[in-house]
Amino acid sequence: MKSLKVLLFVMLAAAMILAACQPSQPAKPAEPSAPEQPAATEAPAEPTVDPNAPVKGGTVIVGTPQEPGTLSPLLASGTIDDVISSFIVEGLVGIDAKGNYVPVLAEDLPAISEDGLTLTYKIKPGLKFSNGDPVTCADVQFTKDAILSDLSGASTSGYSDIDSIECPDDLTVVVTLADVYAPYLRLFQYIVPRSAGDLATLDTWEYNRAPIGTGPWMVKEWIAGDHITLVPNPNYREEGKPYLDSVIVKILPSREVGIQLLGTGEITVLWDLTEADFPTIESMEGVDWAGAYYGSGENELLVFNFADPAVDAPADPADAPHPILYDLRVRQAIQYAIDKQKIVDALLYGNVKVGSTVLPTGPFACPQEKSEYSVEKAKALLDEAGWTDTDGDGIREKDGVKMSLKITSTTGNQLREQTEQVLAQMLKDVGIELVIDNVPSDVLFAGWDSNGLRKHGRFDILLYTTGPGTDPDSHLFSNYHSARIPTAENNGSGNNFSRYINADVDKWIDDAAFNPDMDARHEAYCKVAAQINKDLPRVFLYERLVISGYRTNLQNFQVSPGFADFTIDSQNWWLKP
Amino acid sequence: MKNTLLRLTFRRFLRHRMAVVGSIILLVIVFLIVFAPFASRYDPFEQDLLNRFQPPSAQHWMGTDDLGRDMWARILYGGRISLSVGLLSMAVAIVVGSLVGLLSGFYGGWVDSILSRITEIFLSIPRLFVLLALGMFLRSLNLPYVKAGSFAPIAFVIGVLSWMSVARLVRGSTLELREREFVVAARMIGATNMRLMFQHILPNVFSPIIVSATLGLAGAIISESGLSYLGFGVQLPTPTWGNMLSNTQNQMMIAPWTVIFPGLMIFIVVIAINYMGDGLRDALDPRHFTRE
Amino acid sequence: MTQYLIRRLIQSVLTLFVISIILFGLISSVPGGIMSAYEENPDFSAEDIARIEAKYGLNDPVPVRYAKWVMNILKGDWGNSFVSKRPAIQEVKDRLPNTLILMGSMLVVTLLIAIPLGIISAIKQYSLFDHISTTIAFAGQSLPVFWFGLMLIIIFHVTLRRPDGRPLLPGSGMVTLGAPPSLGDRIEHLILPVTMLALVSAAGYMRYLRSSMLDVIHEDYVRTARAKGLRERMVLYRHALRNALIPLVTLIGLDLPSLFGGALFTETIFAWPGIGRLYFNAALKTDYPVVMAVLLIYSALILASNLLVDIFYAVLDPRIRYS
Repeated sequence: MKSLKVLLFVMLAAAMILAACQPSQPAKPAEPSAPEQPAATEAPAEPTVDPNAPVKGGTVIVGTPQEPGTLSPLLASGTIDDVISSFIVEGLVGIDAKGNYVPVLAEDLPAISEDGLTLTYKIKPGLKFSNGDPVTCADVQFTKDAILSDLSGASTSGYSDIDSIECPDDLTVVVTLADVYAPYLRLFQYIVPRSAGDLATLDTWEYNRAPIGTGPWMVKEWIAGDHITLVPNPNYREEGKPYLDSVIVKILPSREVGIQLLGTGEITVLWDLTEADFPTIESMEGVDWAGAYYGSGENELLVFNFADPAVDAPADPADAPHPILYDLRVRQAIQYAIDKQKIVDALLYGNVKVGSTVLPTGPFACPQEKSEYSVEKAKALLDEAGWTDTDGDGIREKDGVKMSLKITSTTGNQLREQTEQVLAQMLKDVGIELVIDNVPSDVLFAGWDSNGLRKHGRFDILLYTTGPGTDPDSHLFSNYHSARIPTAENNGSGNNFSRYINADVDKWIDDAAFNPDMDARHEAYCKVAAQINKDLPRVFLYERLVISGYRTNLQNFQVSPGFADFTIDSQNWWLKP
Repeated sequence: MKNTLLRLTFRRFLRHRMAVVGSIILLVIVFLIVFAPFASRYDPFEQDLLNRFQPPSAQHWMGTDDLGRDMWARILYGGRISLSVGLLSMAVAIVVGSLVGLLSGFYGGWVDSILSRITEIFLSIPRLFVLLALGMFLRSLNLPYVKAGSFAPIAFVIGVLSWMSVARLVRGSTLELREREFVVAARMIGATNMRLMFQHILPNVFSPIIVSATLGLAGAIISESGLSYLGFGVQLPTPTWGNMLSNTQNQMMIAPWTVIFPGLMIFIVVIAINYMGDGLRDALDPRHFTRE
Repeated sequence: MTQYLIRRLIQSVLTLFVISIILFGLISSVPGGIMSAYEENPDFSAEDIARIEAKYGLNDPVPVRYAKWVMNILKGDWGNSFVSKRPAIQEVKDRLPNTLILMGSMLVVTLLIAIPLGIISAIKQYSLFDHISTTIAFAGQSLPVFWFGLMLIIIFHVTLRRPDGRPLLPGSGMVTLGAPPSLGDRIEHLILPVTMLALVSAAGYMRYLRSSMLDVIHEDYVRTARAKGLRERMVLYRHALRNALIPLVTLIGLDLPSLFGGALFTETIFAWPGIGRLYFNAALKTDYPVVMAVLLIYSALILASNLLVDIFYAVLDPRIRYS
């Protein structure tokens, strides 16, 4: 008995001691001894109190169901990594709340030469990183070197086309490209300072958990699995900002818990809500949601497999056609059978737009006509294609094949599971059976080498979200160009999972990629968008929003479709008392 | 003789009041589940998107779920799957456990060493953690023959991780029994090992097996619900009591009934089974009985 | 004894080795993993992906990866998490204290409930008290633990409020953020998760203690003690309880795996930054250095506790001899 007590006591004591010894914070560059007092220049205290004048001080707690793996843009592998990193790190250019490229650390968007091979950036004068170092052209060079270095986990597209970066002076950056890179505006959306460390040890930099940036915030502490505390960057370029004393990023177990905490006011902001959360958000007092005003440009969509799922990654679906989906009439019938408006109204509470085009927003938007909902047309097309219900079980057959299709999406996403079930009901009404077979998201998005089912074409229909981003070049190429059908020959590269082949589409995409003329590119992309709606490799269900929830006493909260997401205006956040 | 023993056991079981109550509740639930189409006027798969999240009412006794389906109908159909998963995984656990226990108790020596080691390995892995990994593995297989609502893989996985206590129990009893006179006598008149194990020893370890089977059933139902809650159970729209709970944490504020009822059903069924197991133990274990 | 210990130790190490092969095989055959994050982003070219894959050593076949992993473990290197890029063992170390605090408090509360209730139920067998506590114990054992956690949140966090409108009890996390750290605050955050786990496990221990107490009370030596004219209290606490507690210790030792299993749900539901959640997230991302580190450390803990239980037994119960 005694030994039992002792054992317990020792266990508890050990637990307490361990807890006490927890590393208090990741090491970070020495903090300037005294935070500068911007109060003197900031709005001198006036006797009349304006209720809309920003109030200084206070803490905003941001809840996120995922913990960032790293804050280094060079290693980021998840959306949350980029979002939280955006509190701290900025680039020469960025994307504003409307989805347009805007200069951030540069005075203007880069000037491009006639031949499209030279870009010139002008850095704003007097900028400093949070450690006090000035922002110079050498940091831009360093950023490019870091991106291209062996240990980097960043996308090299565009950067690998750079021939050289010249620095005529500290604030002028001249980038020479080896090839025309049409989406050149997306370059340098983050800058990594030279002081980050040696490229040979890039993956173990202290920088990775406490970046040195030019943004309004810097990391004070990061307690793994629990929270990250951000404090104002003393060298931030806008005087007197940020208004808040601190931002705490709290790691939550799930979005659901986050919604409760938002309701009780324990957190101020909740990252990444879905459209299905509207009723809960609206039922809570003092809570609202903000979405990227122009949408994210992403669609929730169905991907049809043109090829036989039993055949491993055929290069041309004509050699191994899908027994049901290869026939265009079947795909058309499926689109006719889907009442997109009903999905939007019932599951998304009417807050989003019905999907109709691969390019819904942004500078390259190409609106298309909405698809029609007609059970009759769907049935007629299926009859015409030879699919009829011969055995009276409510599901059509043809040549002994049952019209049964599997739909695969990500597990644990309630909205998707609801959508799938509603789709199953709608397709059942025209005589098609839809069987749900979901997998964890990492399994769905797995690559070629790890036997990913998308890459190898082992599916009938997929349901997930994707979109073109601000410049559609790489998205259209990767998703709809016949050179981007993943096969053993090309090592499974590309995202043309439908195995869609259309020579015209290939040509339009190729033409646009090497043409720096925006209008000509736009025209080519619109032809692609129209052709996709004719051939139906994919069906666009609805346009996704980027949504975050927040307590309404938080002012200036908005959401951008770019990297920065809800952090876009964090220097202007303040809490209304 | 056999008949009187059975009757005696039954009478002992009846003396355990809670076990009787549990059995009756269980019977009623099983009856409702089997005759589900008569117990509910709604189709558990029929969606009504205009009537989502309706609170319990005279029309919908347990309210409606996120797609406007009748919760009571889904609970009944979900019970079919949940109980089937429980029974199937229990069967797997009993078969594997009895075999391992019999072999290792009967042969002893190196067979026993190896089998005991294997049992120990299975006992030493954090069960739920591995269950999660297995569930994920199963999902990732993307089996081409997956049909709507197939639950056998899940049941198999749960069974494979829960045979160890049966094996230990059977091994212990076998060790004891193989030295008993009737077994020794049978061996002398030339009975084969197979015959000895399955005809002479196995029937005599039946009662502990039955008891652990009941408790195993309860455990399996809970395991299924846990696995489903974490998102690795039977695929929708097929309801199970576990997967009905899987997405409900965000509905707690607007539709608490969607959270309360499926869990309550699991709770009631499991407690009923546990009481029944307790009664069976008392009835089948004479040692336990004489003490009272 | 020493010989026995050495043999057991060797066996344990071998067992651990086999477990690691099974688990590694299982985890690495799940497709996806860290590379999935790059697949949907068209800005990552095939070359980028190949380079990153090579960087993580993911282009090796599984047996080679396993061999490398074992070699590194033997050198004391557990590998780096694919997600956070930090040493896997560091990820575990950061969260272990939190899990131990939760588990430790839970064990204390469990025993504080189970021991007195078990004893009283046994002494006053068939009394009203016995019936009530046995019923509660049965209920506790039959609760789906995660659902019970959700119910606790609905009742004590969502529904019940303090006079100032705040929730009665915190429903997630270890401390109130932004508030000055205090012991009271920490304890408040422990109440719901500990209740969720303690009720369920106390039920089992209580029933176990009750029946082993009953067994002991009917043993000859207890009767002898009574016959000698010792006072009832003395008989119960000096003779009976002592012997009834020994099997309980065994049970706790053997129960460790399921206790940690409970942590998986508790930490997931209550946002407790411990091992269970670390594991869940790592498993979803097939971050196998972390998954393997957690599983191996758990398995080692379990094996060690089994060993300890055996030794404990040998020391306490002179009837047991190991050869």
